[in-house]
Amino acid sequence: MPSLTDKITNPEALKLIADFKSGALMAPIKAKLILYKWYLISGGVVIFLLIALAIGKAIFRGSEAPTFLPPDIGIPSPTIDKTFNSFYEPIRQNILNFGTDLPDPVIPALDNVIDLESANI
Amino acid sequence: MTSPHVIPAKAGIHQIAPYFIFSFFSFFALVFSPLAIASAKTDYDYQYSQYRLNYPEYLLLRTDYLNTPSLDNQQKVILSAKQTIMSRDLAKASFAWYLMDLISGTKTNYLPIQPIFSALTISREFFLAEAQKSQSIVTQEDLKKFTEAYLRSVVHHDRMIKYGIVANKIATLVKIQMDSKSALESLMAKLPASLPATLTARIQELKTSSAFLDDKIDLMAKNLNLIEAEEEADAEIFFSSRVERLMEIRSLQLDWINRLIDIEKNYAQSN
Repeated sequence: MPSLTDKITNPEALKLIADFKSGALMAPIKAKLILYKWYLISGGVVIFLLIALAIGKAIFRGSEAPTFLPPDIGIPSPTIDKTFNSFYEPIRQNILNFGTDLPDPVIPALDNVIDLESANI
Repeated sequence: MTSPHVIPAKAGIHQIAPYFIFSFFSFFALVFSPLAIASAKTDYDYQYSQYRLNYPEYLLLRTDYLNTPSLDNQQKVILSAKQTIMSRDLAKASFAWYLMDLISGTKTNYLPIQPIFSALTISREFFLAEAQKSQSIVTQEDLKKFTEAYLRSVVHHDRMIKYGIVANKIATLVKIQMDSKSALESLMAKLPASLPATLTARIQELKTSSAFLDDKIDLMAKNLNLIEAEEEADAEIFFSSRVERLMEIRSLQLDWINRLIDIEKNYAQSN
């Protein structure tokens, strides 16, 4: 089976393949990974913790104690008592309307002393 | 085909119809409006409003006259005083009439308060006479004499007004008693022929309570001693001492009617 490079004649491509094979192409990436190693580790830990929290929460929900609600008793309705209209209600109303305050009607404030004597001022 | 003479005739009817309707209603308005308007209460309200218009003016003119005793100011204040006296006495007369109207409106003809009703009639006539007499005042001396004589006589009539106020309350209580008794009679007619013993006892209790209330009202009326203790009306407790009794009687009457209604509810319902 012919090699892939047998058909490639572009010198830039050949150089790129050679760099890839030799590992020279990955060297800057490795350098960056080493440089930001602690950041990446910290990020990984945070992501791990978040995932752990989400899993824990899901497990907790699954094992949550059931809520017991009182049985539905429906909407309470007022006791309907048959309205009794008394034939003698007007007399009762007259008694209720009877005012016990005195004087009723109020005596008008009228001046009995109408003269021109200064002593009466 | 319509005759040409008919058309103007129809048009004429249409034209006068609104006037005819207006005249018809105006006639009834003229006939019945005085009956509706000239009640004792409205008359009193009117007369008292006249006094309240005249009195401040009189006070003002009197102050002017006392500060500046000129002949012109004297004439002004005497005219105003005459006007005020007339409106005052007409207000008093109409107030007495208002009380009489309230008492007679109960249609009780309760004998113990009849002397008070008669006294109110006399007082009303007195106030009307004084209002008329005041118009003969010409000089300051006339005014002085009039007021001196008035002060000697008016005390009795002012007291009668106070008695009239209490008499009106008593008449109302008597009216309630009369209505209550009629109610008991009509209730008994609705009850079955054979009454249970408990119900008979309750009805008897109502009759006893009614008689007890009658006695209380009678006692209150008798305490209005018009002949022997007229000056009692001057005391501050004249009204306050009676308020408590009115409250007690009212409370007993309310209890009485509630018991009657309870019997009606339990024994006299058609269903």
